[in-house]
Amino acid sequence: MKEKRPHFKNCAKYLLIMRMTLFILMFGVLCSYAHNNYAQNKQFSINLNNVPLKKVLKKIEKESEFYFMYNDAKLDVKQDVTINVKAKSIYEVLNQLSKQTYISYEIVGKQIVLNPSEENRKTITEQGFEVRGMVTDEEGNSLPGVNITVKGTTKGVITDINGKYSISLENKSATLIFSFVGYYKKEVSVDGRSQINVVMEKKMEKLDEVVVIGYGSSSKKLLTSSVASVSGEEIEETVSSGIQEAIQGKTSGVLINKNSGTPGAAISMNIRGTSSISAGTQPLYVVDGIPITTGDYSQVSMEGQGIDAVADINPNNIESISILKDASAASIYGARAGNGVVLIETKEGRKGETRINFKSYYGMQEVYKRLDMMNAEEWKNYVRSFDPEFMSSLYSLTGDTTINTNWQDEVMRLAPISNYELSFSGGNEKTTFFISGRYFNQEGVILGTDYDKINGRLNISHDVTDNFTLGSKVSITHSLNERVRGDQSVNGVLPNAISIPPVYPVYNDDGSYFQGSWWDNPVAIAKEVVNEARTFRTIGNVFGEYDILDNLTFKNQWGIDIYNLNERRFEPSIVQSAEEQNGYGMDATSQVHKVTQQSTLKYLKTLKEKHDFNFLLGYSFEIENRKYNSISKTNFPSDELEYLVAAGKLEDGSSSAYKSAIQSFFSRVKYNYENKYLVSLSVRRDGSSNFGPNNKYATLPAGSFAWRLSEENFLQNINFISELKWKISYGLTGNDKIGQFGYLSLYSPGYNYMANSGIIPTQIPNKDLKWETTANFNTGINVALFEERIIFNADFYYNKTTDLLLNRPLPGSSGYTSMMANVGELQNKGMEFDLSTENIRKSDFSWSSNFNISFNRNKILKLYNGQPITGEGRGNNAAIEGEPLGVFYMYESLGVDPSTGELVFEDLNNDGEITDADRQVVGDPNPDFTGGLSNNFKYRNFDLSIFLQFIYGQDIFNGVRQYTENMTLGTNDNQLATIKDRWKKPGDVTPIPKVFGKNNLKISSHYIEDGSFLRISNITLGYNFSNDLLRNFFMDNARAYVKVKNLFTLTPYSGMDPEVNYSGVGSIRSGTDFFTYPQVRTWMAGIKFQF
Amino acid sequence: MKYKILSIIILFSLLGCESILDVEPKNLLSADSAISSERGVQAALNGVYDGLQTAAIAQDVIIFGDLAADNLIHVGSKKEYRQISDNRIYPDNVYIEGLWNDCYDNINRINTLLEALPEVEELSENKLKYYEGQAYFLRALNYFNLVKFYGGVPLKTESTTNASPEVLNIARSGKNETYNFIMDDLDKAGSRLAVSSPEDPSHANYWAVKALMARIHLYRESFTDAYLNAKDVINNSPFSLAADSSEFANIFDEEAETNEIIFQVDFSATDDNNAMASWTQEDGRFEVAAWESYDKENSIADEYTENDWRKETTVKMGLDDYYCDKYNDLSGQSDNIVFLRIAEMYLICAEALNETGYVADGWAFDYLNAVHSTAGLDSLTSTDITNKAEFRDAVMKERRLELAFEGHRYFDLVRTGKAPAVLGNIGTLAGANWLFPIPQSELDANTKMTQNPGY
Repeated sequence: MKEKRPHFKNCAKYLLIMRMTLFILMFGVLCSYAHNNYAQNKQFSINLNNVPLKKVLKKIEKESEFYFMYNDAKLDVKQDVTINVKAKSIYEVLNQLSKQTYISYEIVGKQIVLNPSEENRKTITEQGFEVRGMVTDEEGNSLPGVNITVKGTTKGVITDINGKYSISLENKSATLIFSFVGYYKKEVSVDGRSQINVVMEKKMEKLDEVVVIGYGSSSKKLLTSSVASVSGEEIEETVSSGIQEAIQGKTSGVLINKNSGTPGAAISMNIRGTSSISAGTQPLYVVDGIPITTGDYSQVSMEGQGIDAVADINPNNIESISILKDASAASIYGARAGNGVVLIETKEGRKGETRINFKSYYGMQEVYKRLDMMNAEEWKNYVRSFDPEFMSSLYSLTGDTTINTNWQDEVMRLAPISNYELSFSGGNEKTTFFISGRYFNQEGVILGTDYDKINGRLNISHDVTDNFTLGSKVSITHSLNERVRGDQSVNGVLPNAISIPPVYPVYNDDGSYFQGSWWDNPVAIAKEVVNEARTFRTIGNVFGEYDILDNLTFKNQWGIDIYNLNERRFEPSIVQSAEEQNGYGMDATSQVHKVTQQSTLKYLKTLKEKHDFNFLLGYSFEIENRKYNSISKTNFPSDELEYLVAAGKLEDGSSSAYKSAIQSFFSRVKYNYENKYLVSLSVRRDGSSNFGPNNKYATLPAGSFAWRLSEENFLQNINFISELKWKISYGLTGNDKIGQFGYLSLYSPGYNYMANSGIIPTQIPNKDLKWETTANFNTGINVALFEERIIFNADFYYNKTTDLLLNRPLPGSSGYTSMMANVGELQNKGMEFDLSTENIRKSDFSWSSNFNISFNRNKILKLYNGQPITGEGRGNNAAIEGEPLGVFYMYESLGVDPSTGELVFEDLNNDGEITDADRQVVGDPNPDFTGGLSNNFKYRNFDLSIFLQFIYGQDIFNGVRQYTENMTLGTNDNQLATIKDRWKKPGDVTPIPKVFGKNNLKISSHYIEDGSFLRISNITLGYNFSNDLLRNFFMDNARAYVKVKNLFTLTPYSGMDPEVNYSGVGSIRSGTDFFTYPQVRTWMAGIKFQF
Repeated sequence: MKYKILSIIILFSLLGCESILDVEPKNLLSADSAISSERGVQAALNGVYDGLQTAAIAQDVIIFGDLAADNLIHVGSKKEYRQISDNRIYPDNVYIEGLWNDCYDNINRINTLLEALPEVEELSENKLKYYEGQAYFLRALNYFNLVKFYGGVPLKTESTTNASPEVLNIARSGKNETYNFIMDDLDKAGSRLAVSSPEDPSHANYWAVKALMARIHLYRESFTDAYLNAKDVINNSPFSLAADSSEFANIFDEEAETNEIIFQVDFSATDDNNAMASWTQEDGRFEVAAWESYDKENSIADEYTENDWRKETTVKMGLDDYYCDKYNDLSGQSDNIVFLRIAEMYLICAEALNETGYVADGWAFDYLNAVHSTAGLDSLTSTDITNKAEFRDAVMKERRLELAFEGHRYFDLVRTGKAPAVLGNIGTLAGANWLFPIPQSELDANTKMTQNPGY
């Protein structure tokens, strides 16, 4: 069964892993001699006589990582001191100093706060009027070390470790100035008060923000690659059910599309265009360092309304999201980074008081646009125009000529959405924690849909010793998604609600569903058919981090991701699809269990104070097990009994299982010369069980360089430039989703004869099968002007994907029609621009803006033998060399011939016949450009934000029109009201052809529309309650807001909404609308409290 | 503490040191182990029969023989069926491609099985013959389906295990060579199944070999051999003609007890479904070519005489048009597909004897009447049929009435040279010597492939 040779090969690899691990371990052993708490163990040898105190402090700062905080005005640092210690701790040094100078000290981590000692302070305070108080940041955290000076004097104090201060004043009407690094200066007049508490407002130093990158972090200033980041606050502000929706339109280069308006439906993300045709286009999601399970594992076909395992992440638990866009950033994730990487960090507790947060919102959703279908009168006129006799048979059926049912109204509704969330966070010196629970409920705007989710999270971290930290982050989710069939299915609620003529009633006189027409009653389908998807999800990891040396850290992390999906479908006999079977029931379970281990070793080294090195070495593996089972039965004795125990006839029962594994080695070196020249080099080697034996390991390197011109002398004097950086990178990433066992010669079961099991050979092995490779070139500039009030980023990229996995056609005489092979090539090139400005910054009014715009051009360079792939999906998408992926390839409609009323197609080859050869590229579902604009206003305690999103130049195949404007198929279907203007007699000039036109149903550009749109995605008006008021309620923070999502959409598209895509953006089958569950407008209000 | 931490870290890191990339498929069998026991052999053989249940082989092979002829027409808008119905076929027709591909898929399954069989040690000599015999017969059947539609085809005798150009690019053999190869396979099948043969008609059996030999000899105009083989089946096999109308109607039913069938592909509701009924019943894709508006003379519906009880089962009047009622299990979709049945053997004997010489009221008359009068009609005599040519026409007519919608008509017309007269000398088929086009996909991917003249 096993092939012997590859097995030996694996042994060699096994040894290599052993060696790697041993190396890491040996390193640890050699370096593991005791180093405890930094303060306790950092040793000083100082011998200075009669030097100013300042000099001693400087020496300590230079020789250690300690830094001092004190107030020059309060503390006489020019006084001379003598110190003589040898290999003593900082305590000893400070004790000696305090004896000589009457200073007191407090050590907080590596920060040492110096104050005059108590005796000293008393003598000052006795002199006059005293003001006391506390200084905190906006979140209520106390701020130690804040400078407080009396305006117009040199007198001042600093706050202590608890953020408290007291200052004695000679004048009760003095003004105090509070200042602190990283915060805006604040002036407060005393006005005779003896208690003044101050909240400091954080300075917007955006470029100093720390961004999470693969296996580490970096400040934005020092990034050499292209990384988009979104903060947890921004995400929370959007009030979204899942993370992808929360970052939609926020960052350049990332196109996010809600494939359907179904609550909880999959959302697709496309980073810098599509780099694969058949191996998956979604990015790798990494949560707290561990790659998680994503994708749709549903076994019950719901057409365009797939669910996605990513939906289980609670967006409100997120501290930050980083999107790694170029190879230099993503390549450290190797053969899975080809579509980009999304890094998600969840919140952690902070040392200090326990914080309690409560958040809640409630809203109503509505469908803001309905299709304009004909009413009963119009429909009757239409049918009479070609079938005068039909009416009599119709009325013998219903007996009522006055019925005019608006079926869309019958299946659509106002639907509530609500969220309740409680979290606790805090910690002491050794332990921090974050605990949160959330209940989310979203009813759908279509009858019968509902999404219900409970999230829980516990993040905990504990310092076992001063250099060993243990921690764990665990989240659990239960969700229940009730869907109705819609997109892509003619058995669905919407297709039936739109197609069924208005002359039928919803209910019979006796209250039962009317089922007399040949359309299924959509209200019955919505209310009576059960489609449950129940998810149980646990994502958890445990880690240990060990500081072998101060600058050498070993981290070992284990993660599990358990995704259990249970689906149940029940169709009672009253709906037509299950009528003959006396009810249909299905029960299916999908389990995806993943175990991940990773070990990293980090080493920091500075040479000559100028050359900073940052080394990373790592090993990881991942094992995934998937298991499916399903059973379906028919013949239920009653529609009341919906579980399978009641059903008489077994239709189908099956189970299957899959296993896959990945093993990786990775390394990175970052070099930083005086924060001026930055270099990063990385390499990852990924082995995957999906790869063929001839290409078992993918080695994917990347390098990048950045030059911060603003650090150069020649720019130092130009004050308005705060930052100017040029960066360039090149690297390789891979895509390993190429399916399993393509390299083996296999027999497949299930090819049975006369109820005896049968097996057949199913593939020609391709031992060379390997990952798809994307070579990525990126260059860009980052500019910040006027103290970062204007920040501008521009990126230019060129990505070329080679070894695209495609079906290589084989001659049928071989017994096979195709085999998977790495044969294609495609490219993406593009530009991205981000601009953020602080237009007005005054103490009680501010206005800031963020704008981003992205241009991507996709082009297929090579297919197998140049053979196009055509006729994909309902919209006849195609992959053609020289064209972007997914272009619409069909007949070009020239409009309606006024003399015949027929749609006329272009006869491309002029052979007098319209054949397949006349098909051409008539549209492109890929947008020309996409982007977003947000404006944020703050006036005193009010804030207002408006977010606009736009997509330009995407074409949509409007499959709904093809179905409900064709006047051919199911001629009695209700049609769009546009057909009232159809061609009726020679000479009529109209875009709508005649009834029964022979080309009406054919897939042509007649049904292609411009899907560009500009959307006011989000308007929020908020109010933050003032601190003084809140203290009476023991609250630190309180906020109330009202919000409207999707207030207005400007688009030429005639369907319900241009955001449609039954198989997601980036897929070859892009841009088709077919009774897609519509996007909704939501009105909501919410509150936030912090205790 | 330090050492505790250290040992924990060592322990955890070591856990990663498995050779984890050695993953074996759980739902699939590797080629080495798949056919290594008798169970594996049986499963692989079932896999071959499963291939005969595809739409292309079980339905198109049958339907096209009547659709391209004057028995059936396509009434829907499927351009691929329309092409065949109109005898104007193009090489990119996906159904023509599907038929080709499915036959070769089946041949590849058989070749794989034939190569593995000698390696299976637990098989007794008789068991080996039992399996090999069926495999050779089924390979012959597939090649016969290919040669009658496309003419000479590439002869694949080995399983495809790699995609090298030498393996993929195979030239066509001539028509004669293809037939010789088929006869050779049938000889091998016959010698093995003579010793050890399955007894049910749903598996290839000794008499099926003989019957197929008879048909091929007839197609190749080796009339004596055709006669001898067919006579052998009639005289020595357990099969006998359906005795009355209900037995005739039952031939195609799943559960039916009949001695008529020599070889069929079995369908049942739990196994693969047979969509034939939904295609040929009322409102299906195909209608009996009977309506005058379809411009077909001598409609099959008009050919049946009053007392012919075969008509009721074969052509039935619906609301507007005639439809075929041989396949009528609409809900269960489990009608069987009959490839060989005994009535055809009688008609082969009749035709072959007549071709070797007309004898008034001779044996040929006996064979023809065996079928003719069983259908409730008066026996034919030399007063009705006076010479060889008339007898030939009488056999043709009998074949049409008896074997309608079983895939014979088009090939009968072609082999007897009557196609131009009956079907009209128009369309691509007429220009291509009545051969179907080689699929474009095959021509694109197989550099040694050549198209049939006329396309």
